[in-house]
Amino acid sequence: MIIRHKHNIKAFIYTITITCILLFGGPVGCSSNTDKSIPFEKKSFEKGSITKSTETMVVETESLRMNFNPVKCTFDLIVKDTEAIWSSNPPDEWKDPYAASITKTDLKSQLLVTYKIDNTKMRNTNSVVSSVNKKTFTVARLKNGIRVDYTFREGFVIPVMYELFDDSMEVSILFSEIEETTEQQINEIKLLPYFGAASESEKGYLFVPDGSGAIIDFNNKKTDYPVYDKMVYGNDQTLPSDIVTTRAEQIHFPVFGMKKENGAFVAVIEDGDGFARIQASVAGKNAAFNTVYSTAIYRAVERLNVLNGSLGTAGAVLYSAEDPVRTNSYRVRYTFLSGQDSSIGGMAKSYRNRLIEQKALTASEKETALYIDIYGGVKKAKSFLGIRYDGGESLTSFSQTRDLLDDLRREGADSLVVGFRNLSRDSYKGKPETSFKPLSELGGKKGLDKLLDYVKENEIPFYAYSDFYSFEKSGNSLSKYFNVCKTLDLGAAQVYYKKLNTNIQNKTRDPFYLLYPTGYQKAVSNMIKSADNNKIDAIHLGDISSRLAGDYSRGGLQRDQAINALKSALDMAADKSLMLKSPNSYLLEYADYITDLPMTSEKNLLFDRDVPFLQMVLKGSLSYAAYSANLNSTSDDLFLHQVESMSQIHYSFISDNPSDLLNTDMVDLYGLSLAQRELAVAQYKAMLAISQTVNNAYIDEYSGDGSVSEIKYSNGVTIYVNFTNENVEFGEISIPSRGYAVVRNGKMLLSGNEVRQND
Amino acid sequence: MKKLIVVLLMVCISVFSPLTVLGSPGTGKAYTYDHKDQATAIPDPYEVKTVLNGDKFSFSKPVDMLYKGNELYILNGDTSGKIVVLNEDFTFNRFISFIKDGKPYKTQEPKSLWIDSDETILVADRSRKLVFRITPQGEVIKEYEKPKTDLMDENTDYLPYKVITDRMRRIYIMSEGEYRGIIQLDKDGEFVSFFGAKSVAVTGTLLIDMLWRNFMTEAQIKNSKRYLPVEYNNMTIDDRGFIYTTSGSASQPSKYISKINSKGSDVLDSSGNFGDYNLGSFMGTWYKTNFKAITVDDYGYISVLDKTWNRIFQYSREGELLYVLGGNGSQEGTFSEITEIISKDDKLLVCDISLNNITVLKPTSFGKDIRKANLLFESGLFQESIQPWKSVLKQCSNYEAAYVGIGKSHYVQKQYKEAMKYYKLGYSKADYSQAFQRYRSQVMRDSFPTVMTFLVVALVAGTIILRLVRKKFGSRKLVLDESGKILYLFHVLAHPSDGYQELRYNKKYSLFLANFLALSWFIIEACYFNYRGFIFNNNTPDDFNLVSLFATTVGMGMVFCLCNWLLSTFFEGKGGLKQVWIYFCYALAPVLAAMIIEIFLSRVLTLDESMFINYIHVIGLVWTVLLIMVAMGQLHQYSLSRNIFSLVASVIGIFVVLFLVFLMYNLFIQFKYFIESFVKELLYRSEVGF
Repeated sequence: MIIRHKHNIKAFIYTITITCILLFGGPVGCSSNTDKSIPFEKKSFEKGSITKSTETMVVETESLRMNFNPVKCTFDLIVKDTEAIWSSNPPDEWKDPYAASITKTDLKSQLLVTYKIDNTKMRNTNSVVSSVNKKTFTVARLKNGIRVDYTFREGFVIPVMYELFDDSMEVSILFSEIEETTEQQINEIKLLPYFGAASESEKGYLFVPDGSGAIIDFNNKKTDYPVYDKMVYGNDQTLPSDIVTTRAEQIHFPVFGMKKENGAFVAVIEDGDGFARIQASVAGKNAAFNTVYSTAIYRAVERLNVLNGSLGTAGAVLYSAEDPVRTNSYRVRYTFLSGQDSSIGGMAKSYRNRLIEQKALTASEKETALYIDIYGGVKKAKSFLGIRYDGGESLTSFSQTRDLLDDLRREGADSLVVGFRNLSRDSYKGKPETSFKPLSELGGKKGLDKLLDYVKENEIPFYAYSDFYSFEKSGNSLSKYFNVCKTLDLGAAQVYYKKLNTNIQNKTRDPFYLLYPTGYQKAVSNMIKSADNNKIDAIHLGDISSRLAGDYSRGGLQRDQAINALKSALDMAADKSLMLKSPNSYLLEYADYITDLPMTSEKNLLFDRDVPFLQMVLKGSLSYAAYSANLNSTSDDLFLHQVESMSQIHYSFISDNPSDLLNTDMVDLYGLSLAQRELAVAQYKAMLAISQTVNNAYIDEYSGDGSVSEIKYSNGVTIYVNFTNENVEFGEISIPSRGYAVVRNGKMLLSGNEVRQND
Repeated sequence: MKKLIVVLLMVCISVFSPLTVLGSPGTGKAYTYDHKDQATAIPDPYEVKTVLNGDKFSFSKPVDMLYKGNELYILNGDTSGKIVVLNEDFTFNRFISFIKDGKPYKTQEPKSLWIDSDETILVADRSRKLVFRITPQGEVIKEYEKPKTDLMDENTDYLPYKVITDRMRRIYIMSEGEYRGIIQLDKDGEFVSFFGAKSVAVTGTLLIDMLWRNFMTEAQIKNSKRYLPVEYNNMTIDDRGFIYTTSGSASQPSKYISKINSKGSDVLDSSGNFGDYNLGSFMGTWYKTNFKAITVDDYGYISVLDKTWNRIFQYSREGELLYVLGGNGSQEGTFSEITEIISKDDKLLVCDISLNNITVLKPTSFGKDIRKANLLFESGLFQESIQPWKSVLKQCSNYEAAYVGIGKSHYVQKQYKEAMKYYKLGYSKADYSQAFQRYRSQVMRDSFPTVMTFLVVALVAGTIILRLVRKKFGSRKLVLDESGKILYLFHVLAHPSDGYQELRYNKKYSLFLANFLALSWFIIEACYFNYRGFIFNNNTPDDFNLVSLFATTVGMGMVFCLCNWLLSTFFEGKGGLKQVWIYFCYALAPVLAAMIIEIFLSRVLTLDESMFINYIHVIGLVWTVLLIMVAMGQLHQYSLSRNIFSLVASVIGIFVVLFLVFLMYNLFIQFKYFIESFVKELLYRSEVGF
């Protein structure tokens, strides 16, 4: 374009401006006008009566006593029954051989604070150096506890409240009453990092809820490995993170615990769990103590590694959220266990009772069944007269599904639970999966009706898959430009697939976007509408059950609020039965069935062994299945782990030849072969026999060292699982090599070998 | 206003230095490579049996390990001067502390450990610049310093980091910076020779440098870059005496691993490259495989450690990649800084100096199936390999080698059709072609009488019909009347010079026919892309791009015609744009016909007969090019030299246009980014405030 005259330039500028306004003005207006936030009322907490006394303050309940030192802000918590003492910090006179000078004051602190000083740097401080030593704190007595307001020399005020309730202590950081300056913004606060810290001479273990659950023995000498540090409910995919792990196991329950010789505690993060991390460290790493604690995130910070364009050098830029999280307090409830209950079994029981108390575990356990996932359609590149297009292709049509279910039943899988994936065109188009309009390639509406009649007639629970957590393309009235989570630099969060070999983002494949929590209402109502239209009354919720992503645009719902947004959206689906995929604890109350529950931890080198903690909490209250045995890259131990945790058998199938999946987006699902059907049925039969011996009993206790494990049930049954290649004798009971034995009152009820693929 | 300028500046900066969001390299999922060299996910072939912790098992900074019988010897990489011996069940057995003359013998940087056939132990200490031999109890009995021989360069430091011996008790030492090969000593420690030296790879730059050297002075030559053979960085020896070496990332990927026989030559005849394929740059650095350690197990499987991603590559005896596993991390089965790998039965042991641990890996049932199937397959027991291959596919439908394996067993059973099916799934074109050849002759043999009868009947009938037609209409002169425009095309093709010349005057050209040919070009190219037989077609439907196809066919043709027409004003050409287009399209006919024939032939010919297809392709192409030359010459009434000059100029014109298009495209992208950033900034400001 050649511009000859001045007025042409003007015209050009006008045109561009008008075009811009036309193109983008609308959305800009929209985004600023709509108020996405749900009302947030700042709650104020009990102020108490401030004391200047330097004498030890005592708070008591029937079973606990707290001796609080108002000079140092440390306290001892005494369990009256056993006289066990839990101290907030190691004793004063302690000289730590490992601790660096900064860590030495950390050892005496109740809070470790990380704050941002500029766009590239974070700084740490602790409550001793910045407040207690400077005597800039106030202590107040509350009805059943103590409140401390720390004023840090950096300018911020952090109030903490300790309250005793019968056998528990609740510790809260009062977020709504935190004051800070504009220059120094708080990022995160480690709460009671040395509470109960176990010295090198003590025996016991730390419990972290990684995956199914994991145990770290005190003084396990694994000081060459990094400390354990993980986000509760998994990383936020909106905020990119460098952390890449082999097994993508995450924390599903916000619990951690510590077991010592004379007692144990289990801690549950009850408020602010959406924005918390759990950390654990063994003696000899940073200090001579074994510790497990949690960290409250007060303000979201995003760390972007950037390539400095012109110079090609790498650096990091920190973006931090304007506003802190919209939670009134970060509250951790420590429950103290003694006697028989001071074990992993006791921790699970305590947490289970708490969930029942909070009406989060309301469903009932269903009968043992074979869980199967069936994949319907797939996108395949097709060509017509040499012109390429993407078309749908059937992997398992509705009538083939009926045949498959018939076959499975004939072969002995009397009880089945079916999840049906890729039912609609959305699934392979990459749109938010909230529609159940059946693909015509699978048999269309008529075919689906027939299949639904069939499953109803045969009383097979049939769950149609829906997922609105992420999508690649706009659809179902959700736009990938406006209805998605924004990062802290306010761009839409784009999540790229990573290349297997280099782990670098695969830019040849479209990224996906995360639905912002404000959109959950719309997505769920769309989903319900479509379900009603297609006579579907049971829905299998996918990634949304375990993934938690926040929206960091102004007024957007951050992680902590996303939980409530999702819950209130799912409240609309009250008349639908829901199956959840490895749900986080806040969704348990919505689950009728659970699948894909992790069987192991992420196998961090710091761990000494895994525990099936999730299953110990859920057994007796909810039905749960393992992940698909033929889909994921699984260990050969999977079946034995399933016996150990009493997890239902779960397989995924397609009716057609799995080689049909080559050259499709589903090429990663490499094990869908129907040839595994016999194995599935055989495993189901074995599991049925075992589970009938325990019925709805709770798991009371679990102990295992990785080679043989012992699981005690509340009905008196004990199940032994042997992972080794030799038979193991337990008195008169012999547990077969790579097998299991079910025992009651010293008598063997049942035993067998693992059910596995024959060579 | 100032603020606005700042905002705009920020936008500009963000346009020109795009922020790149990064993840760190390192993953832990097993994969293998498919026929397109793309990594595909597979189930874990190995799982962790146990992890031995340095603190618990009394070793520190493990650098090398070795099995002697059932005892595991671990060499500490620190100055403690100790070897830790563990029992078969990984319980502690004993320390071997190095002693000389009753005093502790200090090490500085021990790197490697080897047990000779007389049970004495050899240790290489890099910083102390020697290899020493100890008794099983730890008493130092001999020290091997830098060999005294004229062949050793005085200026090169002697930094031994790996030592092994063979059955003849000859000692092989790798020394850092020693590019002439592995130092070979006899059992008494006397220098024998350099072993397995690599030759310098001949590359383009090397040849150019050699040329330059002829014009350089002595001093210049001395100061210029020296071309040295790539040095090895680790080795191992199998029970038949073959020495296996790795040579990092400096050499060509096909030479990352060598298997050296006693004569010193590489006998590993791998068809492909070792290491990772399709790598990319990351934070401005190109990452590539860097093999660090190697081991061979009793079955001949070669396992190699890659330092870049801390992964293990396992290859078959013949150098075929089976799978890749491991990765960076602090979980079981991932590593931080791996130093050495050894094998025991089917287990692998990997030591990590940074995590201070040893990971023991054992194959999963999936891994066992692959190893079993591969072993049978490479031993020629195709029938027996079918069962494990099927088991592999049951667990993983992505494993292409399994399809090839099953195909092969069908092939030897003469079930060629089945074989073809599996070879196709395994994307093995050579095998498919072979099976197809057999299948084709089978079909031909079976249907030869029918086909021949049909052909003869068709020939006779055709001749008769042709005769009848000729009789009725008489043989016509094509050139004469207006109605024969389409048939005239054939006249042009056969007699280009006359045909094109006459076209100018008799106006028997048809724009419709030309456009039809152009459209056909596009469609035939599309079919050529998609519908050629499996053997000759490397394209996948996913790569098909309608726009680029159009641009490279009709689009390019149009640009050529345009350029040619524009240039004709310079060269005093006579043709108009319409005529140039028509003449050009007419000329396409031969190549189009050739492509149609190729599409059909590609479905009936095998790889061995590919020359027929090539011939036809060349004939079609040459014919078309000649036609274009003649056509333009005749149209514009050019002399030969002017014609050629104009054609070359036209081609250059195409490049100029391409360049302009590229510029425009870039500008457009920049503009798009600008608008995007502008909107983003607006959104940001509308939320945060100016």
